[in-house]
Amino acid sequence: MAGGRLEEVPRIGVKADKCTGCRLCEYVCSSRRVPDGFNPSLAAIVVKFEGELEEELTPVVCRQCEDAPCAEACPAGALSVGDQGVVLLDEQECTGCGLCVEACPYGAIHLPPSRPTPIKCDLCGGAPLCVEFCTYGALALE
Amino acid sequence: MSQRGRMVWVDLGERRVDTEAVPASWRDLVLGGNGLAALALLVRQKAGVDPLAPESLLVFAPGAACGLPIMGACVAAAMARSPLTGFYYDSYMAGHFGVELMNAGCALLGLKGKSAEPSYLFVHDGVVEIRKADHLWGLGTFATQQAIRHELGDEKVQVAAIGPAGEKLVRFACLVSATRAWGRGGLGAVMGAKNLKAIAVRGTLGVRHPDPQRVLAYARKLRREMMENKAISSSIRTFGSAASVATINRLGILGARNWEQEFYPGADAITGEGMLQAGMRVKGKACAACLAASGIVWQGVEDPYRGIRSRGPEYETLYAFGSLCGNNCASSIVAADRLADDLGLDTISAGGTLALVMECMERGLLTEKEVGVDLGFGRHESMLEALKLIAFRQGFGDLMAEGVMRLAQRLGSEAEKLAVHVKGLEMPGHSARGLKGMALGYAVSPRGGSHQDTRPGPERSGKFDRASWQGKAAMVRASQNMTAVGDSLGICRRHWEPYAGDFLNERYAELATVVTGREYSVGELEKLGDRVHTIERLLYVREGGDSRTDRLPGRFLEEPIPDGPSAGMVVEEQEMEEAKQEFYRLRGWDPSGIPGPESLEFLGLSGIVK
Repeated sequence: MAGGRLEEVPRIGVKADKCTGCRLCEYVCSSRRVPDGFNPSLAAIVVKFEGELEEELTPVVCRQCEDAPCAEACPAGALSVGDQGVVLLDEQECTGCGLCVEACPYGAIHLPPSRPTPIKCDLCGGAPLCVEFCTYGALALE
Repeated sequence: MSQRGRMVWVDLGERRVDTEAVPASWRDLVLGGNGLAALALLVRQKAGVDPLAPESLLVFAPGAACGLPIMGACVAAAMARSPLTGFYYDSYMAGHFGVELMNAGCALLGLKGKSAEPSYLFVHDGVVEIRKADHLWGLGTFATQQAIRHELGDEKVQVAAIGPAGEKLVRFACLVSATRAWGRGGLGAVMGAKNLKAIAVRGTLGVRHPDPQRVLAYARKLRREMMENKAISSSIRTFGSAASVATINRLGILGARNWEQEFYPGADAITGEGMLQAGMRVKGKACAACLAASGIVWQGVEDPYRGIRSRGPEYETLYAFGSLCGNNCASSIVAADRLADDLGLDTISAGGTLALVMECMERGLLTEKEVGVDLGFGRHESMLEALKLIAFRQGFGDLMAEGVMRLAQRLGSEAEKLAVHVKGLEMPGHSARGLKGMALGYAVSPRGGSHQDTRPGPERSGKFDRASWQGKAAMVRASQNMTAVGDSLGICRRHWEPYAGDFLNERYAELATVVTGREYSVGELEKLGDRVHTIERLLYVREGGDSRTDRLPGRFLEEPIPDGPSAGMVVEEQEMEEAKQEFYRLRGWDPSGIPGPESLEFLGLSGIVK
């Protein structure tokens, strides 16, 4: 992955060893794009469960890469770096081709079957819900 | 009740799936979870059905709060007529399965019939597939779950599976999903009798709510207030339920050696602190929407159990495979917990059964030759051997697989004096002799020896005088109402008992209001609790239960606790009978403990119940 990123670019920092797999981050994140309820399948942050006893837990979320591979791969120019360095998706321009999903080395951008355009983290416009609701210190706005 | 989800009925024999909306009349009466499962069984299943026959219904119902980002909202009910007790058993599981089921659009999943060949269900967004499971039959629960996820190509599928014990119809076989379980009552055998190995579920529909911002605001408040409560944010996060071993032993009410004793001198090694100091704690895991992360992964540190990990043991298992069996090798309990999960055995009933055999051997009622294993109090290696014999019904394991009540009946009257169970359900780790309210609670529970209808907290904490019968009938009713409402909403008691309390109050009313989107008062919740308990009582009565079967084992009535801080305590039969009568009166039932027409009328059940 391309090294280096601007110091000031905000992103969700993850401390996986603190994650307990409660998935509250997924539920609250989904409220950003589900008007009438909650749906973890429509969250921009997803917790991976691995290990014999599912004890290895890793929240996966967009790292707001400087030379974002998703933006490079996008044929419609729908992904671009905004003012603050946050990689933003323009839903109007997006064709739903899914190349960004394939390009992301972290699996942090998702295109669920029920949606025309992908889901990626936009930091909730500055006050990320996932960070607010994590009670284990696994997530922080960096 | 909110509009979330439909009822999905699967006939495994006819390979047919029928979906219907939850009837409007039901929606008004019960919230979901416990209430919905019990009502569905009362209405859709007739009396006298053999629990293991094809026509026996097995239903699953997530709590009404499942899928909402409300702390502790994750619990789902599984309910059927129990092959262990002959009455109905409602079991509860936390983790992530219930939320996934709700997200798949199921307020209730009902199974009937028997599949012609080993099968598993795949429920995805309201669609149900019945898939072949020949290649899974015989596998432990962990291997089954992994195989199904691999086969379906989706890591996010939640799976609830039976192990060899369920396949062999062990009467206390359970269902396991990831590292949680629908543990008690033998529901694993009900599933095994249907030739059903597992239920896999994937839900991407989400859950609806009329005011999601209100839910988020409420969750913010809960987060702040729950984190301030050290019981939730500190103690239970460190030790999980293992924290209870020391507390209970200090009071001298920790069941030991098949309840011959209630003070266990060896307890230090199996307390949360002891295990932590021995370096056994790995990490804490959480269930859905959980703030407590009390699902501790422990590991063995003593040979031959070194390195064996389990998501557990919980307090009940530290009691059942520990003090109850005179065993204080904590590492062996971790190994036994892991083995029981994989085999699909309820740890409480398994421990109770082993403890009976151990005492019988000690008293010469059974020999090592007959049992085939050198079982005795404290013999932990034999304990693990015996669990396998039970799960596969091999040798004497075939008889042990029947549970304490039937095993003792087979062994004769001397053994029956030692049989500790209520209605056929082996005792959990909360003393009847040492907590008079629990004594009453056990006697009148429709499930039998369950610590989840009446709760031990109020007496153990000293809020109520545990040695007194005074006010206990009212306490039992109030406790049962809280658990019925909690289990209908599907909320975890490790959050809500410390946060909201042991009985229904404004905090529970606010919870119900936010979850459903409609105003609930404390009075309405109490009525809901009364109603759910009466529905359960009706199920109990129609299978022959009444005041005569509301009784405790001889040991608790005839043998006072011999030593320790609670020495001398016993269940006084006369006082218990009086308390039972008062309890029936408070519930609006007759002196036989049977709900009458006025009671049904008052609870709005007359139209539903013939």
